[in-house]
Amino acid sequence: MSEPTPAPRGSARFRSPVVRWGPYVLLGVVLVVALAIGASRQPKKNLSERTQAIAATIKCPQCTDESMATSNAPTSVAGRAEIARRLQAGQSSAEIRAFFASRYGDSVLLTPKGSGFDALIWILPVIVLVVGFAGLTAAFVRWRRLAPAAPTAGDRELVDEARHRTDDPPPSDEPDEPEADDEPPSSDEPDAEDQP
Amino acid sequence: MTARPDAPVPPRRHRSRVVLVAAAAVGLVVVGLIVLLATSQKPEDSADSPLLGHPAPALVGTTLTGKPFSLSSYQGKFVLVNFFGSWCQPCQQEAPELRKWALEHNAKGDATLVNVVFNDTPDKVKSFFAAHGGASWPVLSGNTDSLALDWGVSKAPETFLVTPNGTVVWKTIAPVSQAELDQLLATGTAAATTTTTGK
Repeated sequence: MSEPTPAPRGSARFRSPVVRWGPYVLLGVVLVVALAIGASRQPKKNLSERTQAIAATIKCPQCTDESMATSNAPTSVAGRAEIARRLQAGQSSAEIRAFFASRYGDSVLLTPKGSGFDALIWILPVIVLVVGFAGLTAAFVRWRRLAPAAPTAGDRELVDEARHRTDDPPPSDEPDEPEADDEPPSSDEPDAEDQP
Repeated sequence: MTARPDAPVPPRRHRSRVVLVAAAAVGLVVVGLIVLLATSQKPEDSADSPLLGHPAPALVGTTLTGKPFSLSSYQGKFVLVNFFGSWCQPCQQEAPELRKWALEHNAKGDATLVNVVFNDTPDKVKSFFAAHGGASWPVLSGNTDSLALDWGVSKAPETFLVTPNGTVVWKTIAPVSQAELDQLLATGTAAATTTTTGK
């Protein structure tokens, strides 16, 4: 098996690390900055909007598959009033959600907590993403190492055999057409000797 | 088709081992989740509540007769807090049992029943008690939705037992019977006596 010769410096195949990794680093920086800006620049919400936002994360105690934000069941109406009262008293979203969990259990929370067993809900997708990305990267690196597959002697033999087969015209019952035989070979067809 | 004589042979054995380990790991996680879900299933009439073993939430309001009520003024007695609605079939079923229990223990002076109206109107509740022989115990009416929220009530009936020192020790979402409540109170009294005497 013939080894591929290393590309000379300055050729298309040789690229400095900056040229090679620069776009990826730039992409990562843009992504992180955009996420940071998006996360930090939340628009100011009024009491009603904050109440609705928290109520949307709490299950209506009397309903099936409905949040406290959209339900008009008496406990949901009372729940929204309780959320507004607690917000005015200066409690945080986490404290208010903890209050409802202390009364109805954790199952009343529509978005799982970020601690204990529930934290797996948030952690697992990240782990799967990281492991998947690492796996793909490893696979790409491995394929890249195998990539410049130079033709072997066996490959050349196979190609030669195939070309010889196509060069020999199949036997035909029809009479020969001398005009066709006299035509020069098409310029579109590459010469066998030009093939690598 | 002729096989390429010099083609690189992929490390099949290594790859199959990796696949086997990955499949085993995924299978283990799936089995674990199934076991977790199967064991965390609760019966339909489960009476689990985060309030159990904790101080009872405040229970303050106005009775059907217009008198102020506060649970804190019942310190030293067992209090059975029953959330109910006149529209609720199990509530109608348990009403005679609750009445017998309440009358018996009101006479003894060791326990009291407190009804809290859930998702109902005072007029309908008055008709309900008129049909069930009246109520000589407090029946909280009016703005009771916030009380239901505070006690973690989501449907009717839901019944809680509060000890003389104000701790919630029992809850059920099924209709109760006098015999069941008496047995519960006897157990609770024995436990309270053991605690107070230090035995």
